Amino acid sequence: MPVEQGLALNRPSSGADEPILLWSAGAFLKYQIQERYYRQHYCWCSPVFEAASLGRFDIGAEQAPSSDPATIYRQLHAAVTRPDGHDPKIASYKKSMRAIAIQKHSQGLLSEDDRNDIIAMVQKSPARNWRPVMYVIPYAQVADRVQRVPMSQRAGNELEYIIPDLTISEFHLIEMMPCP
Amino acid sequence: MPLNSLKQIPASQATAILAEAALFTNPWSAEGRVRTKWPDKVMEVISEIRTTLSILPDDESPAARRKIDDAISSALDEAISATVNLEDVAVSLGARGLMPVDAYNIVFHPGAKRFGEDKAFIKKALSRVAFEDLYVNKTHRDQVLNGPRLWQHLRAQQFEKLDLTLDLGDTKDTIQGGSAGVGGVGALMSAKVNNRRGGHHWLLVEVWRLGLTLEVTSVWRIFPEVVGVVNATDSLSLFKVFAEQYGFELEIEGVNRGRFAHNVRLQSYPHKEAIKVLESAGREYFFSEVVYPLPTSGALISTCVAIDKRRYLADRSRYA
Repeated sequence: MPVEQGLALNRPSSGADEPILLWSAGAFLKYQIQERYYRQHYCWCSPVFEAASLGRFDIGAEQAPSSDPATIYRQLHAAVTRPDGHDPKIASYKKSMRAIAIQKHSQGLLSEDDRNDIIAMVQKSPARNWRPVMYVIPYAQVADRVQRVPMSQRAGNELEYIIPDLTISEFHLIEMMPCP
Repeated sequence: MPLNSLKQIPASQATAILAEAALFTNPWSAEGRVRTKWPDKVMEVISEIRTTLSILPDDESPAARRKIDDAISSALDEAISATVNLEDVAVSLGARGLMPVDAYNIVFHPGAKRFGEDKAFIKKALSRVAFEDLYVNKTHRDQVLNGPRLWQHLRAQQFEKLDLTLDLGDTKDTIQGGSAGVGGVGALMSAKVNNRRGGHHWLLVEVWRLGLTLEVTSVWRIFPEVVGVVNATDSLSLFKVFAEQYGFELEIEGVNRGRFAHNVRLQSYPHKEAIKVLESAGREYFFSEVVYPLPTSGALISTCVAIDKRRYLADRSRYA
């Protein structure tokens, strides 16, 4: 991933306390399933694109790797490019995505057929379908629904956000570094 | 791992409890962790797993959490496989075009116009189509998800009790139940590929999709140096400009349909004598058609072309 891009993209503050953009890295299949079956996206996001490209004392510079969008993107890219079937992040996505489908079905929010579709997609999809994508979310549109993650649940001290019900018109999806 | 804490519980509820336990323990997932429908049961399951794995109740180390997570996942695997046949669901997903190209088994129809193309190349090229589709904004979103450009369906037949809709131009004709013949869906797929000496062109593949199999019937290479691709917006329009460049005119049941016949109703079927290739004057051509026999009478020609063999092969060897 070109680091210089990260420098240009890291502009977390609009001058007030609110960021201009939020970033969230995830797997393509997760995006696809959320869009097709749930019509909304659960996003854990950060106001910082890449902590490593910030100045040492900048806000966001201490973003933990496990919640740093650029780092997550790189890790997923590496996992897909060199698929060995044992990547912990992808394994974890698989577990949580099918569990969420079962949970939504048990709550009456998802039909049995759709639940089965999701489970099969998750289990049978080839590695390339887990390639990384980056959500780019203009903050202003979602400001009233953004939840700050409590300190106890953050990977580090930096700000992290959750948007539980992002819709497709509220973000752009980019693939910065396509997998070969 | 059979769990005593779930023994007296109906299978569907036990699966749901395991799913909630999985979300509760998954170190990466925040979703679903907050609200559990059966909090006591979830804790009971986790507690039983801790005991079975000899993990102390207060051990929250990453290694302990991973072990618990793996155990719940295995139990969930077993619970799912007891109630859902994932192979069948995957075939159904494949039939609906919901699986990525990589997941399909690509085969060539015995009479395929393949021009030496191999399966690996086609799969690789088509797998990349998603990249071009991926940039999503308000304008593109419907194309990407609601009208996938990856699959351009040419015709549809009754498949596994699904009622599929045929695109007949201005009218929509829904095929209801009981249609004869093999199931499956004809589709066009296209991908941008590189030339040997720089530049690029398009690969257009006609396939018959059945379950998780893609049967390739023809593979065309479309060169922007020759074909006016500028206004082509999808695989079908790409096929059309290609046929207008290389095709011979077609007469179908006495009516001239130009070089690219699309969505033409046939009164008679079988239709051996119904299509005449005009202007060919003895020149050889590659004939390709997708015909759907309608349940009542007649048939629908979804696409039909007769490609000038000499001109196409000459350009193919010149530009590819």
